[in-house]
Amino acid sequence: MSKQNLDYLEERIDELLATQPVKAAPNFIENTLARLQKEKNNAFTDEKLNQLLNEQHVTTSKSFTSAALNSIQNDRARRNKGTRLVYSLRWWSAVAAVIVLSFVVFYPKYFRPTQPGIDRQVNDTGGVPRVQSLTTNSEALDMNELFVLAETLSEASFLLENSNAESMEVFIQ
Amino acid sequence: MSERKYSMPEETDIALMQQIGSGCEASLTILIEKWKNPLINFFYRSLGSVEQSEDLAQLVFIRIYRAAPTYKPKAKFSTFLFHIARRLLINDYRRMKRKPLETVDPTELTARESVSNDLKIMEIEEAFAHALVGLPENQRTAILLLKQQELSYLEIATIMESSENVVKSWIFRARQHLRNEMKVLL
Repeated sequence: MSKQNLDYLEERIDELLATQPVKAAPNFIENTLARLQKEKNNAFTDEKLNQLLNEQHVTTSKSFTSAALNSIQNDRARRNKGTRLVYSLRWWSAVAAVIVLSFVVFYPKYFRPTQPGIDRQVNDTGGVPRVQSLTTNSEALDMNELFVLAETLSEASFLLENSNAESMEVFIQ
Repeated sequence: MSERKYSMPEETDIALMQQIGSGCEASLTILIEKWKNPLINFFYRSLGSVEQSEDLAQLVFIRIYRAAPTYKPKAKFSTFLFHIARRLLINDYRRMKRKPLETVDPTELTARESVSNDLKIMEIEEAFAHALVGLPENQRTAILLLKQQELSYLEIATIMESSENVVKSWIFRARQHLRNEMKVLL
C-alpha cells in the first residue's frame, strides 16, 4: 500500500473514530429522570420493608426482665446446690467403701471374736492358736451337736402339742 | 491533546455534582444534557445498538445520582463518568455472554440498507463498526476514549486502572487492527 493511501486510511479511521453517529432520543432526559424516580421509589419501598421486617412489635416490661433474671439466678443456684450434694454424696460413699473394704479385709485376721472352747485348745507345738477357721473338726462337731439338739427340741414341741400321756412317757424314757 | 469539545468547564461539572448531592434534580438535568451524546456514542461504538447504548447511558446517570452525596473531586469529572461507563459496559458484556443475542429479522436489515443512499459510505461505516467490535474490550475502550472522547493518556489510564504505557500499547494495537481490517476497502 502506498504512503498516500496509508495516510488516507489513517485519516479516515481517525475521522470515523471521532464521529458521534448517534444522537440521544428527544425524550432521553425525561426517560432517565422517570427511571431514576422509579429506582428511588423502589429503594424507598425496600427501606420501608426492611424497617417493618426489623421492627419488634412486642416489647418486654421491666418486671418481665427482672423475673427472667431471677429465674435464671435461681436455676443456677439450684444447679450449684445439686452439684454440691452430688459431690458430697460421692465423697461419703467413697469413705464408706473404704471402711467396708478394710472391714472385709482385716476383720477375719484381727477382729474376729474368739471361741473359748476352741481357741484355748493347745496345739501340737504347745502354743495357743489365736484364730481357728470355721472348717476345723471341733467346730464341725459342735454344729452337728447343735443340729441334733434342735431336732430333738422340735420333736419335743410336736409331742407337747399333741399331748398324750403315753407318748410323753415314751419320750421321757 | 486537542481542546475539549464540551462547552462547560470541568469546574461546572463538579459544582453540578455537589448540587445533585444536596438533592437538586435540575442540576442532574443539566449534567445529562451535557453528557448524554458522548456517553451514548461511546456505548454505541462498543455495542452497535442505539437502544442498548441509551439504556446503559441512563444507568450511568442513575449511578452518578446515587454517588453524588459522597462524590469527592479527586480527578476530572469525565474520568469519573467514563470509569462508571466502562464498568457498566464490562458488566453488559458479561451479561451478553451468559444470554445470547436475540435474532434479527433479515427484512429489517434490508429496510435499513435502503434508508441510506450512499452505499459506499455505509459500507465503510459498516466495515469500521465491524472492525471496532472485533477489537478486545480494553483496546476498543482506549482508542474510543482517546479519539472520540478526546481524553488524555493519563485520564484513560486512570479510567482503565492501568499505566500510560499500557494504554499507549493498547491504542497502537487497536490502530493496527483497524488499519488491517479497513485496508480491503481502499
